Order: sequence, then structure tokens, then C-alpha cells
Amino acid sequence: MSNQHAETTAIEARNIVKQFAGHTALNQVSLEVKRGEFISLLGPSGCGKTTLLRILGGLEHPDEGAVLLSGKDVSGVPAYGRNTNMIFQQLALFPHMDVYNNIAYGLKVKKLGKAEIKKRVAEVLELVQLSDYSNRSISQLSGGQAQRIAIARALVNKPEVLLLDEPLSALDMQLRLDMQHELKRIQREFGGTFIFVTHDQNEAMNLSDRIAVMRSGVILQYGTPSEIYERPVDSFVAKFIGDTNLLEAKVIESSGSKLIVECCGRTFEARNPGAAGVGSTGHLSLRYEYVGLGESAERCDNQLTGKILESVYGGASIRYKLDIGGGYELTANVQYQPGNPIYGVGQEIALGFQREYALFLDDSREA
Amino acid sequence: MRTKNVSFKWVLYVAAILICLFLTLPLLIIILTSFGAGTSSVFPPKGFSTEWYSHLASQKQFGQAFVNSLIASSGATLLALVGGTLAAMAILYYPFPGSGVLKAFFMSPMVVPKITLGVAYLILFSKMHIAGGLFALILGEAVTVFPFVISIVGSALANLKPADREAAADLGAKPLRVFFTVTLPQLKISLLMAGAISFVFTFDQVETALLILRQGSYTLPIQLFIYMEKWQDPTIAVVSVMMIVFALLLFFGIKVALKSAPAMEKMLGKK
Repeated sequence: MSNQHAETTAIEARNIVKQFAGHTALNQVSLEVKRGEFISLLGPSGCGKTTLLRILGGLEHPDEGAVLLSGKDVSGVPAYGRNTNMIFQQLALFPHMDVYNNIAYGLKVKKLGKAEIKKRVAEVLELVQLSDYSNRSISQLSGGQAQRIAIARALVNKPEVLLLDEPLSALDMQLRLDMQHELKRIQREFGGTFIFVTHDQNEAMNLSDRIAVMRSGVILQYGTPSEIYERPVDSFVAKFIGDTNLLEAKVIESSGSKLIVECCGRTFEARNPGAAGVGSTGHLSLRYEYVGLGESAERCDNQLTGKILESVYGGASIRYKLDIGGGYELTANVQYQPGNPIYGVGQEIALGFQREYALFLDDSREA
Repeated sequence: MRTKNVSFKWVLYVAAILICLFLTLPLLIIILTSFGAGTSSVFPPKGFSTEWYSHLASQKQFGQAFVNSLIASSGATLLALVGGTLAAMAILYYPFPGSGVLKAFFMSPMVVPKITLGVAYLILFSKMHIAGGLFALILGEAVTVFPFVISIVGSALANLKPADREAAADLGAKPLRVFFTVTLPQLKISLLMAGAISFVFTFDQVETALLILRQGSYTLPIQLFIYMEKWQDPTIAVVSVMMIVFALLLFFGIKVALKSAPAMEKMLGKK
């Protein structure tokens, strides 16, 4: 059993605690990553995601807890003794070496033969599609090229785990999207385990097999993108990933996964993802696109009316801001195709949402 | 308005020319004197001859003094470069309580009167039984140029990205290898600059040398000093011209080295 565990787990953090000058950067963090997985550590700045990555790579040492690489405890092993490689936010390509020597650095340290080094550098340059660049100096590279060289320099060592510390954050939007595809392709072809730190939820959703959402030094939720999007564990996760209406709510009736909650001065049917009982207070999370308007509201479990305050045309969809009375507002994102009705500001309209999509998130979980 | 501007420009030109003259005239006089025909250094020189240049060849003590100066300056520069770089690294990478005070202490030879230092060295080195030799001078001068290295190399060191060192460690390099393959190559130019300034500074250092050197280990400035006490012939001017030529060669050598640094790196890197 434990043998099988070691075979499928690439890297594991166990109960990591890290403090910087009295401030707790990581508090009992555990994370397990399977071989071949693409994982994102997602959270706002200061949540501890980079610290966790640096601990996995051996650039920081945890105050408590252990790091296991392929089942072996490497907690006391410094960065140069671990078979992990990191891609730094500022890339940290050596400015005094050309592309070839940058990539060959790790192989030279390992004292491989010259012919072997040459072969492997050529292979990895082909992987990142920059075969003709081996004699370029680092200052001659564009942002995207430097990015690929940094990836090549890490991958040429065939690391068990590749750690990426927001490497795309310095690129402009289009290049960023290109590099996301590129990263996915490289991971497919290379077949390695990637751990990617980002504060950009779209990036995390596009790239990852699983996402660990972090805040204040703890992992709030670790799951597939769809799990995190559709079943967030609390209002922070719900709000951080995707757009959602968060309405204060109180449970007044509970039967299994079905809840009746009091919210905005009305009662709604809602889904209970946890174990919230009668009297629990929390938030009702309702994603913008789950709110139906007009005809599509008629079949909904929860129905009400509202007045349109604002409408923003977004091409494929239209975003409406609605006044639902009592000083409460809801936002709805409605799919739009030419011919569909567009509602004007000030119009009274029926709106509704399914019980299935209205998540009650218990606030007592946080704290 | 425009004419005003133009006239002001001329004032600047004239001032610049005057300052240039002021700076170069003494050197010019030395050069002219060195080609004089008389037996004493007078200006304007009487007649033209190169006899004093050939005379210099027979004055073996100047050759020896030049070699001594080279040894002393090179030794002191090397010592200061190694020690200063290590000290700057210690202060920057491993800050400890009082590291700021330590840096100020290392910079202090800049303001301590050289003659005071010289007297102190004389007493100390006599106790150590090394006074009088070049080794003592090397030790003493290394201290006086230490501030150059600390400030020049230290600021270059502070500008290096810590991520570069981390990347090297992450790629498997142990700390010593990181230093020699990542840190040191990026300090090349500042080491060259600090080295050049230290070398030039120690080369004509008089105060300390005068106090602690004994006959046989005299450096060039001291030898000139002693010669001048006995003779007033143009030999001094000749030696001075040689020193000017040496300084110019050094200066242009460094310029060329700095200019071709990227090209040289490329050549070395390609191998």
C-alpha cells in the first residue's frame, strides 16, 4: 500500500508551518500532488503560495512539517540536493551566459559528458521551439522567448517536479494566453509534474488538473477546477473563482441537501453542500450565469421580480444589474445571441434561479 | 537673447581651455625638461638631447624601484580585492547586528591621515619584525585601498539579483560553485574598476612607504624622492615621463578591456 502511494505521489507537503518574524506565512499546510498532474496554487498576494512553493523546492525550510519527494523525506535537503526545478517570477536567467550555457548549467553541475549535454540542450530547445537560439545572449531575447528558455533550463534536468512561480505575470495579455497553451503542450509532451503559483484565477482554471485555493497561510480548498467553481467550500473561494452574487442568508428549514433560507427579506430554496442546520448563518452564493431572466425564470424553483438598473453588452453575453427590492441587488449574466430580447434599464422583469445552483455557504466554517 | 547665449558659450570654451592648460602644463614642462641638454632641471631647457634617457639605463636603482612598485601595488590590490569582496559579501548576505558599523570601520582608512597610519604601521610592523620589506608595505597599502573595493564591489554586489543565486542552487550548484559561476562573473567589471583605482592609488603612495621601507625595497616614488635630494639633473623628469607613459598605457588598457568585455565574454563563452 505504502509502496503504491510512493509510486503515484510525486511530491507531498505534510503539516507545513512557516513563520517570518512572528507572522505565520503557512499554518499546517498539507498538499499532495500526483505524478503527471498540473497543480495551481491560487490565492491573493500574501496568502503563502510562493512560500509553499519555495519550501517544496528547498529554497526555504519549514519550521515544522515535512516535504516528501517520491515518498522520501527531503525536509533537510537544500535546493541543490533536490530533484526539483523552479522557474522564477523574474526568470533569473544568467545575464553573463548565452542561451546554451544557461540551459547547460544544471547538466554541467552534474558533470555530464560534453556530447550528452549538447544532445540534451538541443532536445529541450526543440521542445520549446527555439532551436536556433542557442548562441543568443540573454539580453537579445524577447519576453516570451526568455520565458521558454527559463522553462528549457529547468526541464533539461528532467526534474521530478517543476515549480513555477508566477512566471507569466510579466507578460502582456496575448502573450500570456499563448504561453498558457505552450505550457500545457510542454507538460503533455514532457509528461512531468507541474506546480504553478498564480493569483490569476483564469490562468489557474485554464491550466490545472487541480487547484489549491489559499488564503492567510492555509489551503481553503483543493480540487478540480469544476469542483471549485461549482462547489466552493466558502464564500471566499466562491468569490475568488468566477463571479458570484453573495447574499447574507439564514437557514430556517433543513432536510438533507435541501434548505429553506431567509435571504433579502424573502425565503428561497437552496442547496446545502455542507452540514448547515437550522439557525446557521452564512451566504447564499449564486453565480451570475445561474440567474434566469424573463421566460427562463418561469421554470425556476425560486422566482421573484426585479428592476433593471444597468445593462452591459459583452458580445456573447449581457450583464444586468437588478434591483430586487429592499435595497438588495443581484447581477445576472445572460447568454446572448442576435434575436434574443435585450431588456432596457428601468424595465420590471421576472427573474429566478434553481435550488440546485444556489449554494448555502456556512460562515461558521471560516473564522 | 541668442547673442547672449553665444557669448556665454565662449566663456565656457575659454574656461575649459584654461583648465586644460592648467592641468597639462606641468606635464608638458616635465616632458620638455626631460629632453633638456643641461645638467640641471631648468625651464626652459637649454638645447635638446636624449642623453638623460640613455643615462637612465645606467641608473639601475630606478628599474629595481619600478619592479618593487609593481610588486607592492599588485600585491596590495589583489589582497584588497579578495578581502574587500569577501567583507562586502559578509556584510550584504549575512547582515548581523553591527554590520553597518563594521562597514563604516572598513571605510575609515579613507579619512584617517596617511602619515598617522604610516607611523602606526612602522610601530606595529617593527614589533612583527617585518618592517622595511615590501610585504609590510603590501599589508599597509591593502588597508588604505580597502574602502575602494568595499564601496565599488559592494554596490555592484547589492545590485545583483538574489534570484540568480537561487536559480543556480536550484539547478544543483553548491554555494561555492554558485559564487564562482554566477556571482563572480557578474562582478568582473566592478572588480576591474576597483582594482585599477587601487593599483593607481598605491603605485605612487609616498607617506606609508617613506616610513616603513628600507633601502633595497624602495618603491619608485621613494627612489625619486631620495635621488632628488642629491641631484637636480633631468633624470627625475625622464623617470616622470616614463611614469606618465605607464599611467596612460594602463588607462587605455583598461578602457580597451572594458569596451571589449562583452566581445571577450562571447569569445570565452563560445568555447
